[in-house]
Amino acid sequence: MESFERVDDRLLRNGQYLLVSYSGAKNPAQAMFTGFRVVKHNVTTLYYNFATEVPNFLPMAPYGTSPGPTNSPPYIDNFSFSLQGVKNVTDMFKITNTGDAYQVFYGISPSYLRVMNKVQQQFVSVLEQNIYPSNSFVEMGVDGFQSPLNNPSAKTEFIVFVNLTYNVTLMNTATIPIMPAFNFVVNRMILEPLGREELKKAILAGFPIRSLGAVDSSIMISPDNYPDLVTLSYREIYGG
Amino acid sequence: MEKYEPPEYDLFNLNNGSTAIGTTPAPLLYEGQANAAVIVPPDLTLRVKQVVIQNATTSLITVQLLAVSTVSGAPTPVAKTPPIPVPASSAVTLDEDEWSISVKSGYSLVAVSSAANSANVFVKAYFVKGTGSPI
Repeated sequence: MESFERVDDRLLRNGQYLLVSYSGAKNPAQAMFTGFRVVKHNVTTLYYNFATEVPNFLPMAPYGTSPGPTNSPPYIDNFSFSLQGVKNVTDMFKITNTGDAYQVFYGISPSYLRVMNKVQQQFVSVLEQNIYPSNSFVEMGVDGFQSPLNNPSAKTEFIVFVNLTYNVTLMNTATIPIMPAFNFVVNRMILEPLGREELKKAILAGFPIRSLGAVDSSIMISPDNYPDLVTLSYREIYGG
Repeated sequence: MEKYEPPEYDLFNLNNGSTAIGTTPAPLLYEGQANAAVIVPPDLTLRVKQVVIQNATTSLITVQLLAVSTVSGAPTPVAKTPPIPVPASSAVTLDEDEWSISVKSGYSLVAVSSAANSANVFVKAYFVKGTGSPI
């Protein structure tokens, strides 16, 4: 039975804050912060079957093997989610509407498919440092045991901002070919940037902060896509 | 601990391929991938959800499933089922609730019969997380 109870509490609702930090792990004093208030949202689900949504997609080859004429590689990097059934949608997480953002969770099928998120070639929080995942790093990312198709885990969360599309790395950890499928929970939000004082107060009050980009690099959200966006430095918030 | 119920989409089929099982242990192959024995991947354990054994002869046979480290030669099984009797020219179906076998990572599932060229074996299997001992 389908259930979203594991992510229900995490869904951002009207009036709630979405705070974002840009990496500062190597030097916390270099971290930057920005934030938004959700002014409108709605939640939808999307079952994404690679067999029907990706043109000519073949089952992923077994772990440790090479792709043949009937298989895709067992390891697929930089996969963008196109929608074959919807005309001209080559990347469903490429948002262009000013002020929009998506909060996304996903369930994974089959269970032994392992998935890692990337935003514009950069790894996000599920990966540590910038280790390039390979067969040696099978413990990275999230698999379908942790995030079953019909009961997605909060671990899979990612936030998509305008012009910062997400893609994923997929790995077949099993010795049989597999056809991946995802079950997305998509919370579409319209955001309003926070002013300086409210942003500072929200961070100091301890509201959850999402990170964007890899531990040692940053991808900035552009004020071009979120008018009046305020970005504060670590020092502006915490002093020192 | 709560029993793991594999979702339909996690089940996959293994069978003996084009040659009936005889008195030499033969690997159960992944359906659709010719001649490929499934070696259980790291950190996973293969479990059998259901097995159907069809007797292709006119005498009673017994069939065993074994977990082995290699599918060639006559390897010593690390786990095996009791001999399953199959009446002449008929089939038996066994479900996980009544019977099962687990195959840990690095091992493969093979079958052997009491008579030459006598049995066709169809298995619905799935992987669970972890590398438990063979059962």
